[in-house]
Amino acid sequence: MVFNSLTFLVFFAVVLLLYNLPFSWRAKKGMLLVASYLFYAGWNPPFIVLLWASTVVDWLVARQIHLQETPQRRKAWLVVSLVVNLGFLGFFKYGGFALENWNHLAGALAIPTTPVKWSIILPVGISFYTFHSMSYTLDIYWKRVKPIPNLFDFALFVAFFTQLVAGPILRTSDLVPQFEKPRRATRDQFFWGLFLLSLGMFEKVVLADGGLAPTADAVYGANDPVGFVDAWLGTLAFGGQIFCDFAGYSTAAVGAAMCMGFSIPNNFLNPYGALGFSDFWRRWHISLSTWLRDYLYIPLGGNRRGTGRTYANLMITMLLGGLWHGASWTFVAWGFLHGLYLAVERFIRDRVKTVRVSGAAVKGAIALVTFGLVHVAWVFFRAKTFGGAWSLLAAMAGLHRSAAPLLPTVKIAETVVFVAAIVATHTYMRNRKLEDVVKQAPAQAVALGWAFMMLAVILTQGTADGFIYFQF
Amino acid sequence: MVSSTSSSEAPVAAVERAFARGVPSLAWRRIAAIAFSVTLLAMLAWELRMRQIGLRAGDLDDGVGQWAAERRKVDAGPRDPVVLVGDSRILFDTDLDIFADVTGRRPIQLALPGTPGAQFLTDLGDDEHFAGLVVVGMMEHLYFSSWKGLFGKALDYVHDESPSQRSGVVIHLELSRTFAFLDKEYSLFNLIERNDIPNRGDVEGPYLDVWKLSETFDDRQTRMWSRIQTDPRLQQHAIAAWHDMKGKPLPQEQIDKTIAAAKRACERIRARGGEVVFLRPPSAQPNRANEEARAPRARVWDVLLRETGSVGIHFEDYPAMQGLEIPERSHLSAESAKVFTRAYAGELVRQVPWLATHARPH
Repeated sequence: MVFNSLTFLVFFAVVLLLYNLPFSWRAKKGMLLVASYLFYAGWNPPFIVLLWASTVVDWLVARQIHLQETPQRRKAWLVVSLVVNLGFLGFFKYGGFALENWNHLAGALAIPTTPVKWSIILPVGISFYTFHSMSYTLDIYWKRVKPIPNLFDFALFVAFFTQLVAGPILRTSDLVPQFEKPRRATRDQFFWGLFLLSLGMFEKVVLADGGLAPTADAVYGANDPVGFVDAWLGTLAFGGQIFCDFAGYSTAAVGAAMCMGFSIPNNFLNPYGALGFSDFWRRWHISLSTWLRDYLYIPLGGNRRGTGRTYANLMITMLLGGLWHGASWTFVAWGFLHGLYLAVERFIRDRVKTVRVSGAAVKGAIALVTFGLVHVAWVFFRAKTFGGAWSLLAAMAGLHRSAAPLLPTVKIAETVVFVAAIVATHTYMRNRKLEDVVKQAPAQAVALGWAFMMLAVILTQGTADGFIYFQF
Repeated sequence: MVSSTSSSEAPVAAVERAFARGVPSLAWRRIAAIAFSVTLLAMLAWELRMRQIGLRAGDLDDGVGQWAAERRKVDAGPRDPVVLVGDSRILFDTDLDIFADVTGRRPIQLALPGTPGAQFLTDLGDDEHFAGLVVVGMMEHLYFSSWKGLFGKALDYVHDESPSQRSGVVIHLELSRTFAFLDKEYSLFNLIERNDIPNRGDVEGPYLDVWKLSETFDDRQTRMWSRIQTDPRLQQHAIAAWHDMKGKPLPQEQIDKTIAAAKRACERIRARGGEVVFLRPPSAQPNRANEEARAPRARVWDVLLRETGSVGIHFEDYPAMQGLEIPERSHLSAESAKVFTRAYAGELVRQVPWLATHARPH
């Protein structure tokens, strides 16, 4: 189920009610586990078996890794975990992609083959819970954490409904210690949690779905080539949409968890205010970028094996990060562009170490370049094909001069207003925390702002469209 | 991303983080009380305003979720239900109660606005469980179109609908019985975007979209919204939105393809003991003339009936179906829909023996 659905409202109300009844902590955790499985089954019940399999395998394998004394045996058990997790991911998410590429290759090489159509449904959120679960066995293998004594807590960690299907991607150390003692939200935590839930829904329902998605869909779904203005507006709208969609989910997840007294770390920190690409990735989908850093980039050698290897590691990490988002070469191209941006930034930084980034003009220019190039990369993320992406990029470069205008004035106005508001907010919040800004605001303003968000969500009457990141 | 790591890029230390989020130190109980009170009051004010402009509680809104619930009825009950498929015309122009009174069978309403009925006839033809009567509503240039329509994903939805989507539809229906403002045609962004603002070049803005035309009740009983008859601005807007039904003539290849598909579906349904009838609801001039220009009756309707061996009820052929009120030239008023339903249901009884052999108290 999705947060922006009526079903979730009822579900969450029931969970909160049961959670605050005077049951034992173990019973409450049991209720949360059952609720989390219901939450997942609300999408497609049979696929819950995959979630169980991933949970049980990783918990058992982690114990075995911990018990083994020889490195070979530890590695062998780790391989079991990787094969199971990546096997599920590979089959369900990349099976069709692999088959499609094989068909193309066989055609190109004139290898006789019968094309097969892949009709396997992608289980929602598989990339997220696989990474949740797999991080545990990797942490045990590298002796970063101790094994979790009972399967129950580990199962709740993997399935905890607030972040189950679209992150943030947590580590056991983020959440499992919070399961040890009874937790109950304080009154302030509860209301702050509801505030964050409302903020997340406002971002998703009002800004992403209501305000920006139609513009992005119109431009990227156009049958004919679009012009310069429409191409940029469509891409800016998508940049705003994907942020509000995903950050909205993450904020709602943080809020929902806080209503029960659990703390989940931020997944976004005002990324469109970033000064450079490494800064962008410290602010965008933080839980994925740190996951890739800790479990891929650093094990590959990070920056400890010379300059050339560092650049190679950077690129490998970003290419795989791109592929993680979707089984398509356009996602790989998106990852490649970000790898390239990071490599160029590193190259420049290594050579001009003495130059300090100061002054509003310089910062503004860097922020603008970062914002612009991030959006150029979004073209590959949003376009369904390379043909579509090149056409959009050509339009953004002003090459489609004869294209007929597409977007009506009201959509242009909405896109400009919403994107400008997002950029202004991110710039203002670049070095500030939401909690501090809210704390300094007058209580009446906070209350009215909250009421405005709730009312806008209600009146927008969203269609409970899935979050974009569910498909990853 | 990863370049952000410093020279300390060693494996992460085995730290069990005791993570805890802060909460801004404010008077949250008071803030929440104000926020929820303001939201509630504003919502009530909005509800009153929406009732003032003619929305009413009990108008259940319509969509693929409601449609899917009706589609499931086809397979859940006996094998021989009466099913209506087609576009908005048969949807608006049929009164389910009157149809039931006249024929003895209450139909399942599966017509969808702006969506060719051909795909649904094919779907019923492919459904081995189905052996009922299909009444196929027809606006030719839409029925014979290659476009899947505004609700072209309805069949995918009914197969893929998740349990939470299904329960969401039920909750939405129940809330709609209480709140008039729950109407997607009067959602916040529709209200913002449906202002008449000049656009660049030949761009058509949302102002020219089709606005609210109908009300929907249980079983997807749909009727024209009374304001279309009483409010000249809304009526004129609706008329303008149809562009007089002007458009290119249907390509012969598309006509042949659609008729072939209809023929296959009819044969399959009849082989199981079912029946198919085609229905052409009324439209007014100049729309009717433009519809005829795009899909001439002799080249489309007549051929369809001949090739499929079906009974066809065309409004032009029956005096009882003339002189009806068509406020925006495309759909009947609620009162006229009752007259039209009585007339065409009566013709069904007279012309379709299947109904007599499958009579059932309703």
